[in-house]
Amino acid sequence: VSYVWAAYGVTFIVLLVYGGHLARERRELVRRERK
Amino acid sequence: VTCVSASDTPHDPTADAGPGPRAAGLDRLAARLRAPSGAVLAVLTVVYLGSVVRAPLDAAQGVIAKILFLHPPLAFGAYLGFLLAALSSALYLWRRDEQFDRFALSAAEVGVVFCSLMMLTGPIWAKGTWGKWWSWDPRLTVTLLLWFVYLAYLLLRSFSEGGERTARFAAVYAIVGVLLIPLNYWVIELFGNRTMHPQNLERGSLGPGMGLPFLMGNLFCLTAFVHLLARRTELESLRHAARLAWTREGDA
Repeated sequence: VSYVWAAYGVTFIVLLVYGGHLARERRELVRRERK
Repeated sequence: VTCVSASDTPHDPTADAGPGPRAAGLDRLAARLRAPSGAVLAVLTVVYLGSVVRAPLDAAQGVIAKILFLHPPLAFGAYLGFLLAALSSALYLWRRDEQFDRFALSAAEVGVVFCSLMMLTGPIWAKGTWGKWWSWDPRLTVTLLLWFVYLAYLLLRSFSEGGERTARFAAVYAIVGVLLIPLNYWVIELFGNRTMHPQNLERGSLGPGMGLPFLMGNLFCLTAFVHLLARRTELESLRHAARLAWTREGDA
């Protein structure tokens, strides 16, 4: 059972981390552009 | 030296966020899609996970078969990313418009993320079903090759200084790499179905009650793909604008 939920867990964590990384870098570039 | 196109316009610094009003078509589309796709994704995540939890257990494999609602949709996301990268690369070679080169890079990166997740979830299912994490099965081997090809594409892009020559080489590489997708899809049939990996899904091959979670899995992955691609494309556009501004400041 744990194998299944590990697969779902890993997927959601990776997607969240990647999406968060893109959002953070975008915020940083927008902030620099405004300066 | 890079080719100058309509997309070579600096961003409006007074803009709220994202590409300015003179940004290229793909950049504007990405900026418009980011927020709505994120909202749809949030709702779909809840519905999707609910449908997976409520899905009936497979008679032969039990709960491990619930990977079916995740692993193939991730594969479709990977294929979509690589196909879009190849298509956009072909458009770049034809039109020499940098926005297509930037979009190809973005699509390839999101495709690699989905392909990596596919490569992670597959062995988890294999360990539970076959009792081992990996087998040099034709489908698994070609998928690994596909992953390496586009990982190398990203490395090429990150280690090179950019420019038209790099963009042209990367475009040809992305188009050649995509030829692995049909091979990967039909490799099981090519080997006469004598592979460990299950055969491709066909109409009616899902058990009762499994159609909805499978559909939701595909919708979730498609929406996540669109959302991440929109974010990645917008980011590439912002980076491009920052590079242009930096170059102009250096020239001044």
